[in-house]
Amino acid sequence: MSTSPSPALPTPWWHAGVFDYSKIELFVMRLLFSALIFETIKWETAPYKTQRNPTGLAHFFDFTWLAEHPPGLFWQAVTIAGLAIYVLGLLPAIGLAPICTFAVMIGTLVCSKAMHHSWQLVTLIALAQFLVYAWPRGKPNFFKPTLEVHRLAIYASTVVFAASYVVCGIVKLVNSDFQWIHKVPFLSVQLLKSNWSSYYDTLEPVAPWLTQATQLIVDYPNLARLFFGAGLLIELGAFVILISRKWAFFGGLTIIALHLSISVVMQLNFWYHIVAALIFLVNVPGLKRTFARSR
Amino acid sequence: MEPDMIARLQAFWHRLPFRHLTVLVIALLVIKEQFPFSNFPMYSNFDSEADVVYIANQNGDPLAMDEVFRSGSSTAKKAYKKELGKLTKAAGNRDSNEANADERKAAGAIVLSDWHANIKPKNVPSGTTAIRIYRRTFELKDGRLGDQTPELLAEKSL
Repeated sequence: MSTSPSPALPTPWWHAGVFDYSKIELFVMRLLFSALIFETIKWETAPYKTQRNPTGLAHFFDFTWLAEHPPGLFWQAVTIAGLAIYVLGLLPAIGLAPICTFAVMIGTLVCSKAMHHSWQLVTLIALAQFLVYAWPRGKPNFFKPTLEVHRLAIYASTVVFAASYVVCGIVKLVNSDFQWIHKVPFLSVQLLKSNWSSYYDTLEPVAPWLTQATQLIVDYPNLARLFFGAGLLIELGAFVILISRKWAFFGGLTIIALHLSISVVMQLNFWYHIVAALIFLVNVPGLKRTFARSR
Repeated sequence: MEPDMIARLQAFWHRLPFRHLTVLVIALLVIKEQFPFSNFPMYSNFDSEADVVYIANQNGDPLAMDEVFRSGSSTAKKAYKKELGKLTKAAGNRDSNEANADERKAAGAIVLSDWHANIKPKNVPSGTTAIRIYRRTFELKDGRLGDQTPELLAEKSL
């Protein structure tokens, strides 16, 4: 007796995998990401003369020579040329090498003075894409990768994006002994601090409504727990952007809304994260495809 | 390794939900803050007090840090905390929250010296003869937000 082959099981949502981006979507993503990462690099390295608080590779290498010799127009032109071939989808591993090198070296130097959190996400995305393109898959794929390899590079970027938010949520729970939501009223002090910190940067007066908003957290602690608790949930649940293009779209908009509200209330701006979410998650050029059918 | 064990590990890897994400999250939790890796610990824990660090002139009037030093208050605070942590760790492996006034002054002097090295002379307001670094602490006490008199940490002549 012969048995007919069983129908293929649908892929479970927690193993969704690579999305079916079109060539034009991938091109636009590479183009916009190139502009974003170039913009994130602090080419003006002269103020960073010491590595008093080494981080990452600064534990092993001295990058302070960058303060004496900031990468000038020549190296910036080399980086732009590399990004141009990456955008065209030719030799992307070679094309990404200069930007990855400068992003890591300069980011390490700057963060070895005092830690910032503006550049990690974008730098990690570039490194993840570099790894995908540099992974040995034969000569043709190295010179002109297939559509599948380009899709995989964007998938890797999305994984980095999701992981950065999930880990941020987990750390909040762990570092606060799982008391984060309970402690939310104390955030009012942090808000007050960040508003004044912003004042000392520019001497622009703190808006009176911000002081009132800070007091509201103290006066209505449970409402504040609801509001900030929602932010924590968004971070912990960021893995959903890997389920499908629709989830990525709505997840992206939610993360952007989270950052915009933080910008307004706490004066903490994460523009690079917002733009990365627009590029890889909201993906405006692919909206029709996102809502037409695909994963 | 036994072939059976390898097969079982492979099967586990393929069954693991969001496997790439899971591995990366674990890696970021382990590596913590080593650029470009980070576990993004900002505002992960807080209590009833929080402080800022700022730089002022010889009279205590704040200077616009972005404009004068190319580096703002939050960067100065992070650098100050790092220096303070090193000092308290060296002196009895204590937490930086337990620092005494002398340690706070020493950490402030280091940061002020760093910021002084990056000063933009043309952006310094006229009449400024010295710069001072202050620490200002905000607190939530008995349901009210307030702040303490800023603590002078160090001064440097221009």
